[in-house]
Amino acid sequence: MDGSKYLYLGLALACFVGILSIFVVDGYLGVYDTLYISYAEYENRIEFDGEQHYQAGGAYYGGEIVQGELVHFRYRIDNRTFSPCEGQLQVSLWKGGTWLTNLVDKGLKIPNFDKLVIDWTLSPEELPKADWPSEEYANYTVKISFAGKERKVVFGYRTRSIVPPPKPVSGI
Amino acid sequence: MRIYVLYGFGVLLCVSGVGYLAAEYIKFLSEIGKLCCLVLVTAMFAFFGKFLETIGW
Repeated sequence: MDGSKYLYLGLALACFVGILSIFVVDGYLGVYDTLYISYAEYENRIEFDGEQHYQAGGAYYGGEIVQGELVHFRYRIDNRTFSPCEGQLQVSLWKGGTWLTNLVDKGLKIPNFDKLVIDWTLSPEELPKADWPSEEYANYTVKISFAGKERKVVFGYRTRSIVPPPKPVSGI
Repeated sequence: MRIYVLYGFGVLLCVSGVGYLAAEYIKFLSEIGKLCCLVLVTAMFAFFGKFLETIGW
C-alpha cells in the first residue's frame, strides 16, 4: 500500500520534472537570430524570437535615422540544433511594398551549435532620391529571409534632426 | 478553519503564478515540446489524483 502510494507521488513528481526539463531544453534549442542596427552613436538590438520588442503588423521597429548617415547592420544567427543550418540569406530594402534594392544575397551554412555573424551597410545612396526633400520623414522596410523565416524591420529616415542645436552662451 | 482558508489562498496564488509563467514561456516552445508538455501535465494530474485516492482523500 505504502509503496504504491509513493510510487504514484514519485511518478507525478517525475512528470513535473519532465515538464521543467522540456521548458529548459526546448527553450534553448533552435535557430535564433538577432539584428543589431548601428547608426550615429546608437545601437539597436532586436532579438526576433527572444525578448519582447515593439512590433506592429509583423514588423519590428528598427529606429530613426537622420538622412545622410550610414546604417550598419550586424545579423547574428545562432544555430542551437544538432544538425547544420543551411540556406540562402537574402536581405532587401522595401518601401511601401515596392522592392528597392538587395543588400545581401549569399548562401550560408552554420555548423551545429555554432553561430555566424553577417555585416552589411546601408548607405544613403541606396535610397531613392525622388523622395527627398519632398518628404521630411519616410519609412523603409528591411526584409531578411533565411531558412524559411522572414523578418521585417521598419525604420524611419528623417531629413532634419529633431534635437535642437545648443543655445549660444550669452554674455561672452 | 482559518488556517485552511490561508492554505487555500496560498495554493491558489502558487497555481496562478505557475500558470502565468507557463503561459508566458509556452510561446518559446516548439509544437512537439507543447505536445509533450500536455501529455506530461495530464499524466501528472492523473498520478497525483491516484496518490490522493490512496491516502484516503
